[in-house]
Amino acid sequence: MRKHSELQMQVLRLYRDILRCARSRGPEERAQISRFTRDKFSQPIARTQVTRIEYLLGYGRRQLEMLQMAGTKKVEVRR
Amino acid sequence: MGARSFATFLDRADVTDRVLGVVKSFEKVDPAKVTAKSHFVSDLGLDSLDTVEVVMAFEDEFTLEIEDKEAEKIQTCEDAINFICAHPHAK
Repeated sequence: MRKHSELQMQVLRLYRDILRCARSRGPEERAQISRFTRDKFSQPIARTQVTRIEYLLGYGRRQLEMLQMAGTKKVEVRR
Repeated sequence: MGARSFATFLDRADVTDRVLGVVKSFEKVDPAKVTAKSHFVSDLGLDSLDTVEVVMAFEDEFTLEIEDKEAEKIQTCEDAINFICAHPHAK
């Protein structure tokens, strides 16, 4: 098994952090956030697209901060 | 007798059953393939995101929180069993 790169680890950590955040919500919302997050993180991207991945990481982290703020009910989808 | 510890550890056979149960109930896993030695990726065909989800499912099952550094090391059922057996707060 190939070891994950530092960038991959950061992506997996963000994924875990979002699922953790979702856990503090009700079951329905948790399932919805988890499905949404899975969908976003499953979109294929070449490992060589480092700048794009870093951009998406930053974007994902800001989305997580929004989610962590009390009262945020929905996460916006941006394509 | 030395100092008494109030930490309680779960029985290994119980932990094994429950860990395998969690993995078998994961929707992408073929339950027939799951053994204590199973590697999530190479034996069960899961990807790295699935692995994160499985480890979180262990947290739910045993009411504990696994730190990132530890969670990243859990790649097989056996890794999970060892971690949980050594964890004094697992329920």
